[in-house]
Amino acid sequence: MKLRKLIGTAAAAALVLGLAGCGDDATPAGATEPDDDAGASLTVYSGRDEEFVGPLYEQFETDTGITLDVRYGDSAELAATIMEEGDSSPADVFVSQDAGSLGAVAAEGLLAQIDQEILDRVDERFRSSEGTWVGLSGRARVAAYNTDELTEADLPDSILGFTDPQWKGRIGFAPTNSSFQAFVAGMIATEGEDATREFLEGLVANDPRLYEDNSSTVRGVAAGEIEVGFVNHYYKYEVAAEDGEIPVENHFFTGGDPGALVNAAGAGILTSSKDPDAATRLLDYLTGEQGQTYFAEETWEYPVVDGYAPAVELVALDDIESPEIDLSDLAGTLEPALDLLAEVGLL
Amino acid sequence: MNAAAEGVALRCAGVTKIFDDAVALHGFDLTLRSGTLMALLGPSGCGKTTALRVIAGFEAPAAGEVWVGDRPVAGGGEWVPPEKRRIGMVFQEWALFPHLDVWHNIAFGLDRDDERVTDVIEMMDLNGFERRMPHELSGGQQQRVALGRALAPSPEVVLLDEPFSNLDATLRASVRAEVAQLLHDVKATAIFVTHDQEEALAMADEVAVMVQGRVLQVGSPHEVYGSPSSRRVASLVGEANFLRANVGRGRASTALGAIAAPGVPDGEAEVLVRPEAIELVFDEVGDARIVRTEFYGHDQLVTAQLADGTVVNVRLLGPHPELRVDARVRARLAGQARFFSNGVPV
Amino acid sequence: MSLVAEASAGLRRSLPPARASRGLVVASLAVCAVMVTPLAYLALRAAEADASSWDLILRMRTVWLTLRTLGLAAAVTIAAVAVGVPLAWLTTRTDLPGRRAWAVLVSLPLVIPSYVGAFALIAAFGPRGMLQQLLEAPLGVERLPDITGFPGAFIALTLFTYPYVFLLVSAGIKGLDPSIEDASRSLAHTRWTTFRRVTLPSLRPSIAAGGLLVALYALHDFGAVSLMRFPAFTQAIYLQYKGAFDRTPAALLSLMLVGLALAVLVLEQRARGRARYYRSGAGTARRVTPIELGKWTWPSLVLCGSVTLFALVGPLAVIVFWLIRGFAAGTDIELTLAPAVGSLVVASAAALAAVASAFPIARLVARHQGGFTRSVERLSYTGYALPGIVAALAFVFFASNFAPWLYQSLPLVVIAYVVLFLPQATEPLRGALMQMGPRVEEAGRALGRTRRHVYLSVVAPLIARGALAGAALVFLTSMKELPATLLLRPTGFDTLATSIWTGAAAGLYSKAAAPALLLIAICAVPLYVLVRRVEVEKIEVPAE
Repeated sequence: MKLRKLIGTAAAAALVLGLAGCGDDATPAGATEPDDDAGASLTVYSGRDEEFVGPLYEQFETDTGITLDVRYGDSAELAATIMEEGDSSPADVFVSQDAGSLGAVAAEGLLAQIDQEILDRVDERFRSSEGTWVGLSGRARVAAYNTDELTEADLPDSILGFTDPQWKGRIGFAPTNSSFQAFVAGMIATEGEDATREFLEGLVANDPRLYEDNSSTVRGVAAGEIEVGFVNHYYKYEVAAEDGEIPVENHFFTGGDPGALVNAAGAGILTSSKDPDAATRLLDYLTGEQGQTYFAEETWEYPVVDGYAPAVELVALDDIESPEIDLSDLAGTLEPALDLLAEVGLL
Repeated sequence: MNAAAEGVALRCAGVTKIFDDAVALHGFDLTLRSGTLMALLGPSGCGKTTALRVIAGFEAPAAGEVWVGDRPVAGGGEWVPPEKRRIGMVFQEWALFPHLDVWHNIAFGLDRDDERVTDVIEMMDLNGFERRMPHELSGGQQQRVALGRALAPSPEVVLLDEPFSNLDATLRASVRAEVAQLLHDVKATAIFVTHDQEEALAMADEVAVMVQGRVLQVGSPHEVYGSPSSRRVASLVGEANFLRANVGRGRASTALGAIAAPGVPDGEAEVLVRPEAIELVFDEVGDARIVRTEFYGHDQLVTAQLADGTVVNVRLLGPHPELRVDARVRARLAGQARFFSNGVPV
Repeated sequence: MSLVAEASAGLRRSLPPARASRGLVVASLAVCAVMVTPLAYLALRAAEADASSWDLILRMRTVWLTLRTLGLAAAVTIAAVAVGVPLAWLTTRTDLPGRRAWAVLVSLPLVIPSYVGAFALIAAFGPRGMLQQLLEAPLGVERLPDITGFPGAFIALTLFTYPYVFLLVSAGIKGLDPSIEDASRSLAHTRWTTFRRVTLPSLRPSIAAGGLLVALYALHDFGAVSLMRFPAFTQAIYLQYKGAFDRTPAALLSLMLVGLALAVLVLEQRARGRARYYRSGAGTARRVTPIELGKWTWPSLVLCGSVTLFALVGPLAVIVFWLIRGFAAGTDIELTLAPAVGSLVVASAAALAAVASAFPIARLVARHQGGFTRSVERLSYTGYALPGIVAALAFVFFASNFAPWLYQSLPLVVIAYVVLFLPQATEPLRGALMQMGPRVEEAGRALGRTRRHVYLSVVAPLIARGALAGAALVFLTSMKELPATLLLRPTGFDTLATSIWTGAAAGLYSKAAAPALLLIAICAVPLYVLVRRVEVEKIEVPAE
């Protein structure tokens, strides 16, 4: 035990010296010279899967010389971990699949203020109003439909249309998945609890098939188990990349429809970070050209910075007119959303 | 018990049982009359336990027949499962049901006959122990529960597999007497397996001597001891001295001197002399010598080397302090001698 | 039994059980100190509860949740016993053709993680699963009944937990004195009533122990219930963490779950009954004559075959199918060995640590019954009843804040596994100690040997198989563990389970398939040890 303490102390001392060294040389965010932070390292808690963002992190390491220790996990579980760790968290940066997890960590006061320059790049809808987290990419809720069974014209303009009895036995979704729960929370925020209950009861009356997650929902659509599944827009591309061509298309809801929620994957810097400057560089990178291009091209998402466009054919964010909700607050309306889901028997 | 008095309770004819690697029973014949307590005596590995298990129905014979009373239960196309044979069994390690108390162990083979259970508990002197679990009993008590359990349903025949081997020597003699008395009291027809000839002779009405999967002789303890049917039986039942004899005209010359041999054909023979049939007399010029003595109080076992080098065991009553190791003695026949030729009596 | 032994048997009835040595008490208290970590954490979080958290918990929904969870656990336990006991009997006592091969085959489902198994079941037997696709062309079946919900959770949990019952009961049957069955037959009871009135009751301790492992597994499992979408307690706990980010209600729910587990434990202790199961005497080394199945041979083969089909062949086929499809689609499937090595290292360490920690507890339970023992034993089960995430977060909290040198290190992962799976090591050890009986040790000591010497020369070899079985069970379960591994592992450290998760979370089943197969292949080794242990205990000596 004594030996370990000694090593621990030595390591800490080395770390402090290292930090001091980095601090002296810290360059303004946005610079891309490869070696000024060489030798620095960051611990990243990544709620986004290695499969999708691993290459981007590696590119960052090559481009900046900053080493990343990435801990992959489920966004919500990582948020819970950070909340338990409190000020002792070894993490510098938290990258999350959804705004809710970031909001929950921010609410505990564990996320630091982000450089205003970075915040300003990102569409206001996709960042924290307090400046504690910033969106990296946007994902729209869609109705993925089986093109063998349906055409775009068969589908209602509003998600509320799916409560019509003609959809009985033809729809499906993943109620335990946080993206669906966030959508319900958003609906409560814009339409109120009664309208949301009515909608959910309408869905339940149509005997929906319930899935574990979005990709199995899309697979269910592809296999013809259901004709329409409520998912995030990019799962069609993910599943196609794995399974080959699938008869699935996305139907977008537009004009501020409650089904049109656009959520954001994002990132924040922890107050306990030992190297906020390097952490800022990571956020800078992810919201910069490499990051935004990567999200557009490799994960089929919406870039959230002006000047970058989706790489696949997506309905423009401006046409979707996602409801006016502060995504950080979704964490606050999640509780009633879960209650409601349980009440109508979906949980 | 239910069979007619003097009737045959059990009969085995030509029973053969083969295990993967060895023949356990080989033409096993046995007839047991009702009310008889029979000992099945033999060295370990002779197939005694297998014989019991075939009789009880736990093993099927490869050939031969088994009858209980007038019912065929195995062989000749018949097969009666153990639960239908009305044969009780007491196992070597008693095999009491560990999850049942004394009462329920004894009641196990009965259909709701509480009175009978009470009677058996009374008979087995187990009053006050009804609610004890088997592991809470002493060895002797476990023995009585096992016996009571087997007797409770009043079986035609009771089989006891080495019933006393689990008891230590001090306890064994008393439990043995107790069990023999109990079996006699209820007029049970029973076979018990043992490798202890003393146990067999002391307890049984009849002794069946078994070697290598077959019965060599059946008879009363006196018969099998006094008139063994073969040299092998003689050495299994009690201690036996075999002396070489040269027979000529009704007389035989042996290391114990000349003895009468009426009806024995002339030539080489063997003579069986039991240890109690030899007398040793202290004699400084005797031609025999004491090799070893074991003193038991009421008697002693003396081993002597005769003139021709033959070593004999002699059992003498009462104290004989003069018969020390290396003392010279004279030995002479003081009882019965039986002549054998080629291992069979003549 | 000697006179001395008889006298001591008499004394044993009147005297309280022997007092445990100080070393034993200290050792078990040390184990308890670690076991109590999750409870302390939960108490801490529960103490933060305000009226609104209590409102959230104290409502009808929680009552339903409790009933549903208990209902599932009870149904799964009964079914696992109903499947495991006949299979154990068939493969140990009868002339079932190929019974040794069946013994291995029907225990193999133990190595399939329930989340993988449930996933495969849905893929294979879902409304539009592989089975439906097979049936569609010839029979025109357009969809099969939906198996999600209670039936799915029930089937998945039963299929992947019955091997606990099978293994413990097989060992129990081998340890049984076959004469007691003969005794019953000679007392006019048929084979069937003998099985019902003698064999089954004598196996009560092993059935209860196996049933306990199954019941607690069903209480704490998250993978299968969530994939099958059955709202059980664990799912409610996860929802609080993952949906609402609210730790307090999650802690309250977890404490209730611990309460349920304790209730199950009390039930099990009742079920164990009054009887004692030291094998009497020296143990007759008699060959057990296999029971001839006769006309029951085919039904028995159908039972073994269908269990193997659904619990083993089905899931394996689905995994292999994914793998092949991945190769066909040109998915880049790299098979790196690092996760396999990682799994092996932590699971082996956990197995060793668990057996070492289980020993003092098993010994207390087997030899020194009493209030202290009962508390220790129950405490040692609490970790097993908790969903992995709860125990993991407890260690996240304590280690990151109070032992940062331990945080996100392999030793912490190992400690967490021990806390989660300790009872799997305790059960077989306790069984071995019970079967050995205290007299053997007393005999050793009466021969003038020191306690230590007796342990090494007499006790250790006799309980080695129990220890091996415990180690193998903990190894298997640790190999499959996911939630605690994800949260506690050192950054960058992968196990096969986390590799499966990495693939499955991204929806890339073909990437999850390779580590899943490797996991099953590696787990088959300790499983073989377990089955062998049962085989070896059969002593082949011809009667007489």
